[in-house]
Amino acid sequence: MPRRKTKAKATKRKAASSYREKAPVRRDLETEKFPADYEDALYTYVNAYLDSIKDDTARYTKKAAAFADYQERRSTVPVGGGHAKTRTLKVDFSDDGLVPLMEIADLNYCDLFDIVFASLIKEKRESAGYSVVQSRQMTPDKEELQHICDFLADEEFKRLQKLAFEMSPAFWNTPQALKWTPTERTWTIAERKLPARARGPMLPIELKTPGLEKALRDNHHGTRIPIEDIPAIAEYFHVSIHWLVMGSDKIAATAKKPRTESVLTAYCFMSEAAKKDFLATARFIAEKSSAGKEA
Amino acid sequence: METEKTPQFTIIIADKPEEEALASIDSSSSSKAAKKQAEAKHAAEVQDRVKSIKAGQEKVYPVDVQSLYAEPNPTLRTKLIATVLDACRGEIMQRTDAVIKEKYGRSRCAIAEDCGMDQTALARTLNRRFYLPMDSCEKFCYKYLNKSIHELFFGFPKATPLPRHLNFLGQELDRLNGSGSDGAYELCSLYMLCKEIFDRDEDKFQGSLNAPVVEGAAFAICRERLYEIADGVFSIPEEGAGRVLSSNVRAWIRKIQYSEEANGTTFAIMHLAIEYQTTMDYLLVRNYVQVGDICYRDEDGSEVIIKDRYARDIFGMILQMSEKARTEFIRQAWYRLLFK
Repeated sequence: MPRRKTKAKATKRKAASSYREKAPVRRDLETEKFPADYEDALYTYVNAYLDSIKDDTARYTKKAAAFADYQERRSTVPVGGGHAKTRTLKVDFSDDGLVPLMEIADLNYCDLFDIVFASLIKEKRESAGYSVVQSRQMTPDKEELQHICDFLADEEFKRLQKLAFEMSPAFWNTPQALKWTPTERTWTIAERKLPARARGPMLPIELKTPGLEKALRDNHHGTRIPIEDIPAIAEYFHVSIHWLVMGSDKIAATAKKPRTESVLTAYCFMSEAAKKDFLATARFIAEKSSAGKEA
Repeated sequence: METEKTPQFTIIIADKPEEEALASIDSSSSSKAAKKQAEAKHAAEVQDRVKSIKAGQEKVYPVDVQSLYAEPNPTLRTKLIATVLDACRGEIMQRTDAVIKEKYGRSRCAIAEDCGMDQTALARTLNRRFYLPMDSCEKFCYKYLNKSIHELFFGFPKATPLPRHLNFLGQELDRLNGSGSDGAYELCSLYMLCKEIFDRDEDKFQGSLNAPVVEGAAFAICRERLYEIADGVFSIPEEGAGRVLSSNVRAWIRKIQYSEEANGTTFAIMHLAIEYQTTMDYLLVRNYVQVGDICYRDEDGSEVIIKDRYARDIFGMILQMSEKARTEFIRQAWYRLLFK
């Protein structure tokens, strides 16, 4: 006969369990992690980069210290639950995970795909029967806009940025959207841009790699999208790769200045009519401004 | 495993971990069952409402668009909207017939010819069952009834929301209107600039009220506008701007998108106007500023009607301009509004 528990005890237990649910847990604080092979490739590149700048002592010392600090910070994370143990955090797409490493290695997001992960991406894409999509590919209008934004003065740029945000759809720029992982971002645009029948077995051929097909078939959004397919997704949906990888404000993808990426992202989401109007406005402003004239 | 009943909730006390798992399954399945029961109850309520509307027991005109839009189940929503719109026809017919009789007397034949309908079709529309072809809507409502298409079909006027890429321009022009004499002067000068570009524009769309009705013109505008709405939220029309649509509505949208024949029905357009929270004028008329109000969506999502005549006229001209002229005006307008 099981022992009957009192009502008070049960209430206490329920309160404790609800407290447990509300307390922040480790996985809430993390974003999408890199697979081990990509993580290794990134660390290998950072180490090789540090070796290559050894001659420039001041720079090397600064970067090596930053790298050591990063490793120290990531490897001494308490496990929690009152244990004295620590664990090492894997590299993820967040501002604390990937961005410091990219800053140490002077990388931008396109370099990450086209140089650091190049061999891995080539191997994985080709084994699935797909060619590699270069992340730097840009249409002439985007190149022109990027050029204009890079050269505009700060004040003019801020106004143009405001106009870009107002002319493009609002969904990608909400506080919640800023927290979306690359998988969630891919799901969002796939749900908006692909008819329901095309998200199943009729997935467009450009997106039908085994990893991506598996991720898009998982309705719980638990399967992460393969890193090697991110440039292909950006290319297919005409969205900014910087936005797709949760790009930081401090690091650019294709532009010279990181600030330009926000305008390029907004531009990618605009309708065709809005794109024409916005590009004409940017051109006109560049013609009128002194910095733009130089450009 | 034992249960204790309290007025608010049931506490399930488990002694072993496996019992805890069972308890959680039990609670989740009970909540699912409750949800299912609530859904079934709601479906029965909607079915009852449909029956009462069909029997003529419920007054549905003017149409309460918001309550129809708020129905969460897409299939029930489609059914409800279809019933409500069908039930409105009698009322629309009576009201329209009275106005036409009073204003135009026996000249119905000329009206029918001008609106691109044959005489018998108009007589049937006004005496038996109200139906207006898509192409005839603009002329019939704007020219002969002097009211918006939305007002005729739904029984109340509604301001047309500007598309996303013109929304901010609407907001800025409205701000100018409310910012004293300098703002009014700036607005007036923007109007003059727009008028100048509009007059110079050789490829602009001509006003259609005094021209013969062109077959398929309204259908082409509808297709264009569906894409405009969808592009405004980075979506495809079929995905309903992030809203789940019933299979019937999806089929209409696909038909409008891909069908080579211009064979849409006004009924489908009414349905789409509800689903997309816009007006029928937006879906059928190139220059929807001619009759009826326009509005922009504020930062908090509320709709603000643009009342200023200059601002309205600017949008009227923008909607009729060719792409080249529109771009020319908009770039200069933004330069003046934000950068000067």
